[in-house]
Amino acid sequence: MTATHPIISRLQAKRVKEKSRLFAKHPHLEHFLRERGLDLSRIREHSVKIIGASALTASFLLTPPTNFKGLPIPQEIIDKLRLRQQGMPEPNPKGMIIEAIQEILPEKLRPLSHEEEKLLEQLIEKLLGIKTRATLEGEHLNTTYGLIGAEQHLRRYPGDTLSHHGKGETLEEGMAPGLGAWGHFATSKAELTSSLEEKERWYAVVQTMYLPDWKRRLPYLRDWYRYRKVLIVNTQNGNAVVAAIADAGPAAWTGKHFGGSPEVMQVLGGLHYKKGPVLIFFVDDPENQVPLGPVDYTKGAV
Amino acid sequence: MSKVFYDQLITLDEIEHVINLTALSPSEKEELWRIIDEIIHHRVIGCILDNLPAHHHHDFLNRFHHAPHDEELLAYLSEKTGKDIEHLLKEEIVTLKQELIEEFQGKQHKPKRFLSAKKVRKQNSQKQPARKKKKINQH
Repeated sequence: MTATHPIISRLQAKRVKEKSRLFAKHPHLEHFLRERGLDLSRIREHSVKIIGASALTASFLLTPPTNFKGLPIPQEIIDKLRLRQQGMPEPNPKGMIIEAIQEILPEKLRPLSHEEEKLLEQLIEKLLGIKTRATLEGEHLNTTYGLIGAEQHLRRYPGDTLSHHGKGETLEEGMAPGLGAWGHFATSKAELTSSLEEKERWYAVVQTMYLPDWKRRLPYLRDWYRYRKVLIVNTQNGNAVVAAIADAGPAAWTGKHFGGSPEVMQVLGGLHYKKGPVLIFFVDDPENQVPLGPVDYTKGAV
Repeated sequence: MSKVFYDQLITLDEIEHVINLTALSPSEKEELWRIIDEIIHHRVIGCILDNLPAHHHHDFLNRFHHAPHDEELLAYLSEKTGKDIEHLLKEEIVTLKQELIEEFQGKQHKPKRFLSAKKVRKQNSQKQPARKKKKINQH
């Protein structure tokens, strides 16, 4: 049996104290929760179920299958953007994706509707030439539109140090003292392939721990998400990068929904980019043809 | 999406930074996130119930139970409390953040029985005149 980290023990004690204090002061709250089989500690799971049920009801009962809620079709958007760019000497695919995204995305951050996600998938494929899916093989993230935050380098094998992660400004972010959610990338330095090196360099963090069925389907989901390719698009400047999921997080109380390696963050927003809104879609790439790293707009399908 | 209506008011970046500096296994890190999340829920609901008139408690809890993600609950609470509930919750979170940082630093509040000698003398000197006065009255 492994010893519990002291900070976990201290915070467990604090949690008990907070709970007791709350129920002592408001005993009717405890009664209310008990009657409904609700636990404040599990309120996020309860919320996920409610949101999921509402979305399902809306899609079955309220929304006719052909109705795109007034959203334009992808070709319409592209034609309109092409028209706007007619006076320009060269087509600007990045400008087109920024405009297209802004036309579709809501003003406030929120999970996108199925229709909005479908429209974005088609636009991304047309403008970037990358086939992406919000739902891939039946799996969907809690949100595809949210805030990304800067993460540190991950330890790739036992004994790995920051100096082995190359050179440059991205080293300033440092190395996480703990391991990523899937542990080391390789069991030793000798086992570290260039493919695994790339995965650490271009890694993404998603909130797998808040997936509604994460605990129930853990063995399957853990393998499914490990190194799963995602396309991340900065919705403010259009910068895009293909990354591999290699860690779980960030915690809900950070206000962020995703994380990016120092290299990912540099591509998305430059050296001092720490946080910003992004789109994240799974890359549908069964043949492993799409390389990790920055998306080259000149190779797009426009 | 994992969401609760007060999420937008909570950004504990400093706590995240402290956790990132602590050597934890992935499962320990997730456990810590979960514990902090639970502490936040209890603290926020406590703050709401403390400020909301008692006759609205049941209505609020019902609404919260049926749509924990509904941001309209903030407007509802502001109306029923007659206070700037967002500001109150943010203040509560600032206090909690400080407490959590102290937990990470391993600081413990000094129990009253371990008062410093100086404070004990001060307390005694404040109590003595009252005792004398009582004796005088008895005579």
